[in-house]
Amino acid sequence: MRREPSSQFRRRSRVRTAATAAIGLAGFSTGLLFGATTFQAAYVNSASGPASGGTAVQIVGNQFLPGASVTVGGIFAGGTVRSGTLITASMPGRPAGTLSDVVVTNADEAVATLPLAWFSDFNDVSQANPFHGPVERMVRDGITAGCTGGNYCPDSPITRSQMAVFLLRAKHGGSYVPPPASGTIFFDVHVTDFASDWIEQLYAEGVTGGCAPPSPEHGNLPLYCPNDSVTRGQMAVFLLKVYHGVGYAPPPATGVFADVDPFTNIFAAWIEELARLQVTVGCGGGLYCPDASVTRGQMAVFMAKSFHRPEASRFLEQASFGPDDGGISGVLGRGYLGWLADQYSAPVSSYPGQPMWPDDIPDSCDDACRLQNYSLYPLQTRFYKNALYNSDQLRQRVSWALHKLVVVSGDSIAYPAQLQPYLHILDVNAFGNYRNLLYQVTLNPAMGEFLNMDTSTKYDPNENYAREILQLFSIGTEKLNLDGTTQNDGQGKPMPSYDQSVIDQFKRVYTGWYIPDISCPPPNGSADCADWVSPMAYDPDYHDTDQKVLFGGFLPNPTTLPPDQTGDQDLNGAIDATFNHPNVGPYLARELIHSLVTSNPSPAYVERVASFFNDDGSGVRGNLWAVIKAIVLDPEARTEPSDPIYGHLREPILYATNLLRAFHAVSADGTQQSDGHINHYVRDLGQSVFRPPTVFSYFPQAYIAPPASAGVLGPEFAIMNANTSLKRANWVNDMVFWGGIAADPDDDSPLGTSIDMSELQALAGNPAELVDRLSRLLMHGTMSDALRGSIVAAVNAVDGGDPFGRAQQALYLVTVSSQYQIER
Amino acid sequence: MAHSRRDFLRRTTCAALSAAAAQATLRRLGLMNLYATTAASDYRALVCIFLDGGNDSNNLIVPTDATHYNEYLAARPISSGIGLDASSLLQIGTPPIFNGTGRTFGFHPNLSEMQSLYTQNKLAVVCNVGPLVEPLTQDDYVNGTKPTPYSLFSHSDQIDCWQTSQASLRIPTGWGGRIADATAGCNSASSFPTITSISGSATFCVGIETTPLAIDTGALNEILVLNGFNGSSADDARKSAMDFARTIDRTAVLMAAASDVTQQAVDISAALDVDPTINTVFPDTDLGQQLLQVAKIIKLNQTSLNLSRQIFYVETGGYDTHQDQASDQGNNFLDLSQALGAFYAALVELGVQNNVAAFTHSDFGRTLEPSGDPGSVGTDHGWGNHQLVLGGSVNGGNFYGTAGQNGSIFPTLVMGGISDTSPDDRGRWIPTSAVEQYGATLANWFGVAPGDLATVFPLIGNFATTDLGFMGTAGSSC
Repeated sequence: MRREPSSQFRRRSRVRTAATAAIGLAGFSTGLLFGATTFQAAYVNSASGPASGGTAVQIVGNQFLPGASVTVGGIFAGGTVRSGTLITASMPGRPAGTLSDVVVTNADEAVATLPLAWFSDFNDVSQANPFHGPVERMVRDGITAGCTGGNYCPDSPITRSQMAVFLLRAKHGGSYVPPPASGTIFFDVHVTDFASDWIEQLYAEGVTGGCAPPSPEHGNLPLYCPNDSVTRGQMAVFLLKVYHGVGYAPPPATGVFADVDPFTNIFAAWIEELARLQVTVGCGGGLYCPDASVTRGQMAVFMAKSFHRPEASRFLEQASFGPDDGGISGVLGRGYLGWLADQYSAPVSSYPGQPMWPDDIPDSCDDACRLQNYSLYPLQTRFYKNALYNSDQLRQRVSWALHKLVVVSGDSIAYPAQLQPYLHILDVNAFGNYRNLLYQVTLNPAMGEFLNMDTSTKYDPNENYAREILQLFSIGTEKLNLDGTTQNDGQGKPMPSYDQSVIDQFKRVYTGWYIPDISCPPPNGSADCADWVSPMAYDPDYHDTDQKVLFGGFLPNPTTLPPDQTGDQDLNGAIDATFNHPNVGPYLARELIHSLVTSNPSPAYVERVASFFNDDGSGVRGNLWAVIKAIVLDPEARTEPSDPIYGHLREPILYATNLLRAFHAVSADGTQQSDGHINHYVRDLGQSVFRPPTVFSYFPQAYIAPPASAGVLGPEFAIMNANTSLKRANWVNDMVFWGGIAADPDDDSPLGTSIDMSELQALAGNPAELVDRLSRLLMHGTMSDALRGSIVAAVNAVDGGDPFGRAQQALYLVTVSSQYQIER
Repeated sequence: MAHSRRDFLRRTTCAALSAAAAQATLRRLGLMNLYATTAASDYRALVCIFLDGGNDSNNLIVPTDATHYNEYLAARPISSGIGLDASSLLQIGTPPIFNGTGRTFGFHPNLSEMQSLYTQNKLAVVCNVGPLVEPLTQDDYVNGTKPTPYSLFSHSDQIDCWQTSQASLRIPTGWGGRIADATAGCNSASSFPTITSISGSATFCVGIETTPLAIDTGALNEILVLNGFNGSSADDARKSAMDFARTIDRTAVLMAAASDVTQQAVDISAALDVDPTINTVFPDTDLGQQLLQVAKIIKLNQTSLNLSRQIFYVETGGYDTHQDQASDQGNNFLDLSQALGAFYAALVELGVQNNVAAFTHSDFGRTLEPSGDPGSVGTDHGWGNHQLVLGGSVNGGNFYGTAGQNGSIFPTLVMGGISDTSPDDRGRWIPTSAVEQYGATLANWFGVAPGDLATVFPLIGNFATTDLGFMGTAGSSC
């Protein structure tokens, strides 16, 4: 039996060599550069469950063969191979509170191991327990194995000795072993005591000085009080000293919690810093309960929210419009799966439904009226407000990705009442089924107008929509493998997925539909309006009822639409034929990965995601929720990348929202929410919300980042040039140095937009700490030493008496750096 | 330099340049003197005008002799909504190439500046150009016996075919960029980029070595400005940290790309320190202002940039006329004609009308057959298309191209006729001249050495001639 290397996620190096990147020799979008995917196990979906066993899980990987089987901790777990990328298995019983290897043995006896992938729940921390996610995290980090008898004892107070173990393992890693204790540090800690090594090491590292100072009756040694509980006030100090380093001193307290006096409570500054980081929101009612003991369950939450902030921040770069401290703590408190479940059910952000107005602007419509009814202002401002303030971040991010793919441009569909129903379709279907989205968007009047399906008749069928729904919304121009690489013919040339003859069939399907006129609602009751809200209307007299054969010559089983069908029957047949085309999964997977995670995913990653499009695990095709989860949970999204071509340039809108969200964007005067009037700034960076220049969106899918000789895909670089690169820096300059966007009613900015840098100012006394804070929040802790050193030096060049100036200096330099602009 | 630029180009297209080596080369070029003041004696510039969406050239140039106008009218009756009335066409008589045939032509009624420049022999029409892998007959196409461009009739793909000139496979470089690579030796006195785009980072402008400069319209000394540095010691420290940050962390390919783009902006910002005055009045339209910006860069080059070869790229949209073609294309043509008229006048003002050639390209032509309601009629995606070339060195006042199966350089305006892709088609012309030939003709004039032509246009060997004859004497390759 061949033993595979036991790395959790093995990926072939995809560093391109000069030979493979040769311009004009190898097609850069073909599979030639990558080769086929290889057998591997990538991850276990929902990787924990009751110790008694019986949990159904999905094991996701590549090149699973029928007959492959699974063992968990050496125990046979069966396994049903649903596809080359998915095995379902029922977890066996395993000792409570332990981790077990999950091993897939392929039908050819090749073996892939996911080390310690399965967590068997503690008996006293079930899946429903609010501490489950953080406790599981502690076990996976190697910090705890529980208390006794397969339990974690979440409600027991944590002792100071247990805390020493937890903190040092969190700081140094789960396998850390401290040097042996001497027994000469604390009067009440002897070498044979539980955790004596850990306690003395905590002392050696300067985190603790003990619970009582040296005294003659204790042999002139301090006390540690190893069996005492830890108060919430004390814990704030311990956590922050480990998190920031022992030299850290928090900014002065100002009075955040009613029961923590900023002047008399010695822990006040620490507690408030913990609150600023959103590691805690207190114990309720505006209180912190500083004297209450910390339980082991609470400790797990404190630990997760303190020590995993960078990875949660990175997750939110992909799954939201930008991380902020509250969002990071939200992810860490719930775990990825819990957070995703919350996102699924979060209230759907909406766009204001606008009353219809006539095409010809009535004389009575003044400037304010025009702004609301004849410009995209209401939609663009709402876009930014939704992105900045609403809780359904993932849905909005996906909806934005879908808009970039299934384009209607406000350049042509320029009135808000016309565009809003289209946006609504994207929002409500973002986690729904792609077939519904395709159907609804096809009959959407804005799309009908934009791509000319409106009034296309059997006499003069217009082929525009027939072409673009195939090329851009579903299958692309070339036959794809499941992993997104192009299928080539014998000469190495990509095989087309359709040609003009296919379009000529499809275009006859999309005939007979039109946008009907209706009476305008008040105050324009006497004028004619078009109905942009209802799906397009159908007139059978203009529908081509001859037979259509779809994908003839391009698929082994073309779809025949028989003669004399109604327009809707034909439409459903055509949407089904399109939706079921084997290209849709890999095409959509590739484009959504580009938008959410990286411009250069491995084919294996694309394949794993595309497979979830084809079958969500329960036999449903087109389930976008399954696709989105597969994108953000995949190891290629979750593991810090080493591949030099990984990542993507933050497109202007994300560049803007990430900065605004991280620093709690508010109105110009800081008293309320921003008015969302931000697009007039960001459009100078090359991206105007809802106004892509053409149906090819804001930037072309296949754009190569400079230099072309490197052959690395970077679609966002199509709008990153000399002109826009400086405007990106100037946008940061305006936000950071000039107070943001001023409130100016004459400029349609009733409230304006600014960011809150007070927390950075508070760190200005320690430039290194200030820069590290920015690295953790904005760059998930990946800032290089060279960049860090140079920014710290520049911050030091600002007078220490000007903390605001130092905060500005640091924030500007981090956000204009290429390290930040490329999200990895 | 140790080897000629041409050798460099040849080597790098065979075994692609590593990213690191390309960076090193770019940096080396960046060391050259930005402030040399002697203008090159032999200045040549190309201006690419991209008509985004697929221009319907069947209404750009219309036959006006009775026989051929009637063919046109049969396919596009006035009642269709897009048939042009003979009396409205701007007559240009018989192009010399058609002498003795009795054929006459006219421009769309909104192209009065084009008519005027044509009659002054400053404007040429190149007929039925489009992406081709090799020459193609209707039978070849119908029977699938010869390779055809990938993804015909698709906007994005046909734009790629046009801008890369390679209809056989996808490549990331454009022929403008490769021409710049091949003539970089002409510009060794300057570090200003050979290519300036006034409309983003189009593929046309991307070479193996060449990265285009993309700028906006507006005052030249105000378009590439980094705000917020006012000379305080804190500002200086910030600027220095910002500059330093672009030199580190270059292992991640996209980070290096972002740094290089910004570095170029910072470098160029210093060179664009004045806003030259152009007295010619340009239309206050997007295209007009883009061409004004080109004129200003040319003027700046005369005083400070010191390039002897330049390529410009401008873009104007709205040509995808599936609906409402009569009004939309009419407005587009009015803008195009007035903007190009002003641009030529500005070239005369600068004394460089014989040194600059402007040329059009578009996604594709459009179906001869109208589609949609007469009230909102338009046309669908086609293939071969007529192009305009403007300049004092253009052999203007004539039509150019390659004779097709109909024996003429001009397609037969009959749906399903011999110029069509098949007897069942709707008036989509199989091109009779390839994009590669169109480009090579311009490249010859620009100064690409004959030996480099096959590197810049890899398929050029598949066609009978590398020069369609519409340009004057070939330039020096430096």
